Amino acid sequence: MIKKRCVFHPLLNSTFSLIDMLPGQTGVVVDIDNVHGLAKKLCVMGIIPGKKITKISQILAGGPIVIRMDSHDLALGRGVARRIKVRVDR
Amino acid sequence: MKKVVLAGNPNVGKSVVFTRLSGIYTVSSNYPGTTVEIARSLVNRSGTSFELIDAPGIYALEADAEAEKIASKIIDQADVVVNVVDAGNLERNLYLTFELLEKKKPLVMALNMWDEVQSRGIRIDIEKLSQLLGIPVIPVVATTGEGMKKLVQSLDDARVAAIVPGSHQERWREIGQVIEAVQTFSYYKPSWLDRIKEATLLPVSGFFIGLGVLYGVFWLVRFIGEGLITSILDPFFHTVYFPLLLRLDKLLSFSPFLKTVLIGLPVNGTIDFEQSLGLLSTGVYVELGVVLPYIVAFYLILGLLEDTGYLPRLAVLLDGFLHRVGLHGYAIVPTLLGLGCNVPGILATRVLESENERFIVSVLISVGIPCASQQALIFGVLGKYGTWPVTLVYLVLLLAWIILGVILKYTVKGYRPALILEIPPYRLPYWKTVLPKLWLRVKGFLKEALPVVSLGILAINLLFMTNLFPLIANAIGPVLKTLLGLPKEVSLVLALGFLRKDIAMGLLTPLQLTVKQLVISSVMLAMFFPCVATFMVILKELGIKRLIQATGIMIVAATFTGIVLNLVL
Repeated sequence: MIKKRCVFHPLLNSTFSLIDMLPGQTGVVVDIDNVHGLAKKLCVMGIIPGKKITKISQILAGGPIVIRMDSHDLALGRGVARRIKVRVDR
Repeated sequence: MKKVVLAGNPNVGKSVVFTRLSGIYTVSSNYPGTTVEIARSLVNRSGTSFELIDAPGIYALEADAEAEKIASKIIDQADVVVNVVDAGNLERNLYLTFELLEKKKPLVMALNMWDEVQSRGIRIDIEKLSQLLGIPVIPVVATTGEGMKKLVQSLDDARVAAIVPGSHQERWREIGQVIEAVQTFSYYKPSWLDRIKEATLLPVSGFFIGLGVLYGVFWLVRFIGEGLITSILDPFFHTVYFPLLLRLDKLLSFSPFLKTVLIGLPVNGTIDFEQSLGLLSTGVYVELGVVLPYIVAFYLILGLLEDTGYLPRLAVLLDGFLHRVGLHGYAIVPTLLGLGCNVPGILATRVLESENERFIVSVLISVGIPCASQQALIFGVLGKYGTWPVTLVYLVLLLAWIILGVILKYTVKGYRPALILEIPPYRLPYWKTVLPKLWLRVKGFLKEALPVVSLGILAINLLFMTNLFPLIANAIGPVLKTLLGLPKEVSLVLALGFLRKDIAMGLLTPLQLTVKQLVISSVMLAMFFPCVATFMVILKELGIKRLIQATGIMIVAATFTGIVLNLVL
């Protein structure tokens, strides 16, 4: 089971970006890199540190990441997803 | 008159509330100087009359996008603000509510989709919510009209709440406290339907479902469009409109000039809807008899896709692929439309956020996306030689589309906004909102496209009268021969293609071209110039500078592709 990308595997490392999180996992947002006012944009959508989110899917061909929070779905481009750091609870 | 403004997040059913409340006199127009559409209506209900304005859907007031600025301005002018809220997503919706409270405008909350909430096992204490926020809260189901009367009555009770402005964090903390106090969840077991819904967003199954839906859309648009043409429009034009034109033709015999402009030149001794080129013959027929049916069909299907909530999912699924050519997932909407007719395709680039992206998509549509009439002519001319010449033309166009997209991605610099897209839950479309929306869009198309296209046809007609076209054709004839291996007669056909691509293709048939020459001509006709209607719409939407750039790109791309084809085939 241990492959190269396991450097970011939740068993070894509990805080990582939304991209490295596995589909189906649930975690808590711990930090957002604030570039180009990103934190504010995400904030008005309800994505703030402390928010619980579940990763639903990672679309093919470098497509967006789909997350679920409060029973609603959101799609985030890779550029955005990379800047959201999540702590996975086991 | 009292101004009542509807404000709320996107996808909360705000426009349904608007349709439910609005009177007969509804106008939808762009906010001055922008592409953001605002709907207004005079409402006269249960003794009160007011002006109802539908502000653009927004998540917050202070953000710097165009829609937020406009919404903020409209709210500033309001006497009463109705905050439309999705009851199933109360927590996120409350952020805007708090901002609206801070605006110190009399406020009422319409808690929409109240029925959906109950079936999902969410309970909301309305009285407590109203008490905590200090404003009336009315549960409504906009699609059925439940609670609308109460909402209108409550407009008189709208109140300015006492609230202390705070930072983002403080606001979210307050929202958390409100939610804690008013909302409770009971356990909800996902049904098999929920699993299917989820499959549309998973990488592999979602991709195949997306392909299926795209194919279905394409097929339905053609089915409905062709159905409208053969069962309603063609009979109308031939049995009702044609005799009318003949009578007008006689009446106009005193002025040959006026006759040529309005009715055009006779073809085989009579008026020909496609080739006479008169303002009232070809002009009216092309727009209402050929383009309009596809527009009605496409807007109907598009409206249904939007209202079910599938469109954002499709955009998400295709985002990765379209990124490679510098586009966002939503660019699939104008591109699809372009397959019917390039004119509505380019009008639909308004769904895109940046001007650069609109330009790129418009160019890509006019170069690589063959419209219905172009496709008809590709099949008409090459169909008899078997499948591969037709397939080859499509492949070349697709390849040109991709290559040009990648080139434009790296040359057209500009702001590309990050993707943060809400995916609304699936909903059953409701005909009372689908049909008015269809009507508004078709009306908008007629209002915007009819005058420009007519003007273009008039211009072409006048050019023909001055014999300028044969002159141009003779000038580019030798170039065609050496570079593309085509006889010089084809240049006249290419020039004619500016007006109508399908007519131009018909003219290729008598020229006795080889299959190779036909393939090159078809590709050139599809890529070279957009038809006059597309040309005029690009001018109107993006301005003269962008039009010249676009035309330059098209000529270069088409010529280059033609040369390559001439060399390799």
